[in-house]
Amino acid sequence: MPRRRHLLAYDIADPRRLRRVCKIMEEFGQRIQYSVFISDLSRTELVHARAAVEDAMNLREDSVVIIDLGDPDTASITFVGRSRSLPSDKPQIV
Amino acid sequence: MDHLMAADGEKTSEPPALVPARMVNEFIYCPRLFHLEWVQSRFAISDDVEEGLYVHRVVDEASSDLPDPDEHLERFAGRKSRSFWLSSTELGLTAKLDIAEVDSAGLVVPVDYKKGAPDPHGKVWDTDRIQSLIQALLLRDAGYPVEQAEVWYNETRQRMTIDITDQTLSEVREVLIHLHEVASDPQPPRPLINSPKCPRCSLVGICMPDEITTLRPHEKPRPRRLLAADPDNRPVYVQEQGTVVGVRRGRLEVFKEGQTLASYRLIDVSQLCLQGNITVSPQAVRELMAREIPICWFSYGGWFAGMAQGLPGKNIDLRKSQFTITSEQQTAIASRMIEAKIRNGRTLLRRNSRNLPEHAPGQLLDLAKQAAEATAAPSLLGLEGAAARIYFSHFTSMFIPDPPVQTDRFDTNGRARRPPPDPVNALLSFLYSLLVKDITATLTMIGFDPYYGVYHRPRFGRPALSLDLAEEFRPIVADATVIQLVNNREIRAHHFLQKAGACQLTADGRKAVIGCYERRMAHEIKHPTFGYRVTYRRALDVQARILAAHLTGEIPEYTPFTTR
Ligand code: SF4
Repeated sequence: MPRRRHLLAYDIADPRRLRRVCKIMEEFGQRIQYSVFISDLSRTELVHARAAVEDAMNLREDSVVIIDLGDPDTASITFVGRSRSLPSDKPQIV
Repeated sequence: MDHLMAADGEKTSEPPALVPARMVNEFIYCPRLFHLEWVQSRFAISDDVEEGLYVHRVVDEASSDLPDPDEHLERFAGRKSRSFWLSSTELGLTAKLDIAEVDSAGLVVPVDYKKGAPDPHGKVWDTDRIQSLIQALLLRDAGYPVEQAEVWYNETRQRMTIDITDQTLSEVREVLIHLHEVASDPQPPRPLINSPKCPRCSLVGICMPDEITTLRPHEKPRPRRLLAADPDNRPVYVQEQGTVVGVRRGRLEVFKEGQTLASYRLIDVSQLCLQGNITVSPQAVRELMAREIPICWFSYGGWFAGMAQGLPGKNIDLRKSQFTITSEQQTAIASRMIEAKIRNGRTLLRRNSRNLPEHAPGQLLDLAKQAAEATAAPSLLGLEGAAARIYFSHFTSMFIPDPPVQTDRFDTNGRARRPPPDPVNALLSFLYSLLVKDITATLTMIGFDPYYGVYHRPRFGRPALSLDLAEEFRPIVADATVIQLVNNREIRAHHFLQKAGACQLTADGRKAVIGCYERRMAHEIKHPTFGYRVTYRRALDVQARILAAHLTGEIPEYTPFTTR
């Protein structure tokens, strides 16, 4: 069940579908740019995310890319300019 | 309500529920796996299963009925029915068919969709063949003529044919008879021994085949490392006073005065722990319950006050055995737990103390041995008390010479709770609360009643069984965390407030303690009995499952967790 880090990006042609896809992306990932998310997912979680996104898309007009970045500990991501926080597995204390 | 209960009570005379066809594969793989999943309703998510379900979405949509078997089926040649259920009370089975087609001769052909490829020899996998045979059996049972079945492999885009004969069908019938025998037995079949199936089994972390076999007399398996991966999710602690916890877009969000303080994916949350004055929205409660994520409440002072979760665990036989064991059995378990507590405390002292008098470890070892032999709860209490006095009288000798918080008051106060009078007591009390919280959540998830213990007496609001199981972990998880907090200077004098004789952690202090405790729980150690590496969090889960296996009669005695 180890998770892998994924980059998810989308291009959705219709504003209503865009909102739905966006919502699913937020559920599974962390936004790092306008339509780009980083998400640590196990195989099961990836299947769930993909099925949810496919339901919301029009497969002829919209596009979603999922790029596997490998082990979350070693995946290297560089921000130039304003940066956003990446997923972490630190204790969750508020 | 009354008549509802009565209606439920009558259920015992009803025939057993129909077994879904996919369970037959589980049964053929391992009868114990079938029992755990079907009879005890214990499921673990498996990546393979989830990916399989995804492929099935393709065929799971439209559906049109098969024509009645009494019709001239040739006239319906080419008709396809998608995604429909067939059941037979006689076979005790129900199955969902992906597709059934009527061919030109009027014969019905079930077609099964599989995400993968044929087996390495280019043939239909045995498990797939069984599914097709079951579908054929059900179709024939419903009156349709079936002589062939087909399997579609998505990966290689291949359609393969299976011949249906009376002989192959009777093989399946025999399997079904055996399956229903196992289904009607409350005891699960024994785990497989040294089987190559176990490492690939999705329930290996729940079944614990090697652990159970190791703890059974006269059975000596090769030690292996079959461990379910640690879960990816972690507890969320909210202690900022006056915040509201809600759920939005699949995330758990914490707000205060219109500001979002934190937002976590729900798939990352294993528990929601709330300290003091925090509001949880009704939607969040419902969503957490649906996901079987417990909510744990602590008083502002850190006292573990209660827990809410969805419906209680389905493992009725475990709860039954919990309430029906004899008081001798209870004492036998308790004596091992207290023995382990004393031993683990002794190990901690020996590893960390800077000036331990020579006689202390020997005294503790004696008391541990006596505890293991104790046959009555009162004498066990006496031994535990004697050991605790020795242990705590040397407790502060484990701290660095110039500790960042006042530790000498513990030497005069000794261990004191409610309210803790000094910083060391405050740390211990809070950490015991965290530990008892985690044990309660684990026990409840497995299906225990955490309120009925083997040593601690049931008293209102006290999860007695959690307190029992906590004993062996107190020194090595909670006390060790106190030592780490102090000796690493993670906790400081300004993390405490002294009020009317009570010493309380500040919000920042609690954060430091929770952080250190969570790191301790994630710390990996070599398991003393099974030799593999585990986190303390998983070790806790393993102990609870060993206790369950003992109570339900799978292993003859409870073996506690003792570090060396
Ligand atoms: S772990 Fe092994 S014994 Fe246990 S259910 Fe799975 S296959 Fe059967």
